[in-house]
Amino acid sequence: MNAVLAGLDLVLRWDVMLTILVASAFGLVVGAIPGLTATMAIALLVPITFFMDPIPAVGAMISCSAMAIFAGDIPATLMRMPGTPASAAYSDECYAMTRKGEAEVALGANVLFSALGGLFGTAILIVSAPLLAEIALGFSSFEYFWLALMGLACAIFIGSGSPVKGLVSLFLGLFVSQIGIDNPAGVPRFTLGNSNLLGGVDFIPAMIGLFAMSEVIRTMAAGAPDWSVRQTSLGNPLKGWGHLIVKYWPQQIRGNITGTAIGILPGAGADIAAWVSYAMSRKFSKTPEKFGTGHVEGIIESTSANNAALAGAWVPALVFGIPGDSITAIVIGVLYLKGLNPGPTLFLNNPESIYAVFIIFIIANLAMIPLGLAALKAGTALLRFPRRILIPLILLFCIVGAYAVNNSAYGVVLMLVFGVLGFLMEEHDIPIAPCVLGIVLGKMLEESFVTSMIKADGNLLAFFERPIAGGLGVLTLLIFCLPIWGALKRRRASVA
Amino acid sequence: MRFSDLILGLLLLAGAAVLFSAASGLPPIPGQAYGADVFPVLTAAGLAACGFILTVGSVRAGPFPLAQTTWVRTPGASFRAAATIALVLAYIVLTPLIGFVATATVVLTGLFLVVRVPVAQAIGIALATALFTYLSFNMFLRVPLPRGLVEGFLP
Repeated sequence: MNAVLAGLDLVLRWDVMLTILVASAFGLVVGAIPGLTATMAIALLVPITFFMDPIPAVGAMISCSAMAIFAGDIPATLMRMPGTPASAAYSDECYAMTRKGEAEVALGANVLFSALGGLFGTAILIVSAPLLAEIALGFSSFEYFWLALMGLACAIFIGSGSPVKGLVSLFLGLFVSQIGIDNPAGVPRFTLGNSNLLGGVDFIPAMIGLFAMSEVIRTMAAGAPDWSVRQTSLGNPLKGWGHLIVKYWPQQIRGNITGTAIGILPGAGADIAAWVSYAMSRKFSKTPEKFGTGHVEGIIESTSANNAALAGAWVPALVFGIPGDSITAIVIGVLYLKGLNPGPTLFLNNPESIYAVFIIFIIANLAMIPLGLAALKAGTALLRFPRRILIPLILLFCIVGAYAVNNSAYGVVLMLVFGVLGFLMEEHDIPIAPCVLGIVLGKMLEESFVTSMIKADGNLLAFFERPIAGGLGVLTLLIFCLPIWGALKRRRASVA
Repeated sequence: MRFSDLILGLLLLAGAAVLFSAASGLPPIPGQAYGADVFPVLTAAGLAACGFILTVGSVRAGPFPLAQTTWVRTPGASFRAAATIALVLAYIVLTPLIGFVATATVVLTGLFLVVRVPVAQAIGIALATALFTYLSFNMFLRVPLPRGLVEGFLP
């Protein structure tokens, strides 16, 4: 109880609340701009968090990501252009409602059920994280090896269209994580004699490059044309909230559960949660024929899911230091910088910070309703802001952010290299998320493997000798084998 | 520009070969079976396997263009992408010489002109943004952006 009160004391301060408010506004703006993702908002926010205390920094990232995921629904509804990939699953449905003159109903549902989904995910985070942390205290390098490998497997086989290209991305990320002297043998690897690379590749400039700079190059190449907004005036978005809650409560609950579960899964995040939930909603609907014609049922289920997934993704991030999605991949880097090293001992040594995180999640999701409604009013004006001005300004912000990491031009060089790499990867349909997870998890994977092998004197079977490690190992191997088995089965069927 | 899976596969195979040769020279941990070379070698093997699958898949799929133009067909798209990258490179080179405000103004103006913002508007917004960014980062966030030409004029 004392830890909860201490957590409240950490959060209920004017500087923390102001930070949450400003970060929320930033998240709403970035999320509402098509092409700029929630992950990009977080990557751009990171350099600013260097200058904050740990709790405001974490609060900024939580509120910014929650708002950005919701705000992605605004252009999806008004222009059929999802602001973030998490809104892509139901942007056609939302836009169909706009064409019927019901944009306010779709956007109202997005605000309400995003907030409720976020609160549900938070509740699961609050209940499950401490329990899991207690179990995780008994984990050794064997379990961590499997957890890291499972995170990578999920990212490849669940999170990307082509498993081979997902693997290419993952191996690129693993290669980047191997650069430098920070490895179990303590020898410099792939530094090309450059002293900057001895310490490894700085994570933050790499993220700014992969997520923000790559998008800037793409938009600049296209000439940064302005968007055309279909419906510019909205009615009352609060209309029919009570009716929607009463009529669609099963869809909402199902979306919440699916979203949280997918969020907890290492490597899979809000966008996958929304796609799966939308498909489930259609499958279990009594009126599947209405889907695609501007029907709010699928929107409610999937918009609940993507915000629930955000909180769910924090479960493995806080308990094991393994990112649930690309947003928490960046957050983990910031937690380390702030001395809040994620892992089960954080729950023992710093419980007030954990409770502060929980409280911030609740505040951010409650604040989403008033701020989201205000954003709907401002949304159409924002979408008329000329992109030709906006995109160069974002690039300058990327440059300054990358510079601020070490106050050195080396950060800008890294940002540029990873920006071009990210641009080329996306041009070739190579997903970026597995690469990011490879960079984040590569060190953990290698360290836990080598440490385990030193303990077990090189006996690989030791990875299956402890019960939890064995279970995790079998599960991980299944994640690797099932898609291959499925592909072989489809091939056999097509030959027959 | 988008290369075919054949080119992509061959590039990955070549990259894997380079990585393998660099990794195989890494020293082991004394007395241990697994050292600094294990993960890089596994990574090289993984990249080689992906390259092989992409190459074979592409050959089996039959005749194909080696490279496809997607957005590059849009007039000026390649120039705009290259100019964006070149302007970031210019930032890296020029900042130590003339400082942040002057460099940011030049780079931003260049970027605005690339997407056809009128010249006067481009210079005005670029200068105002550079000054605002410099002052806010230097004064509030304590990021020592290089002063250069504004040394003595601004804090």
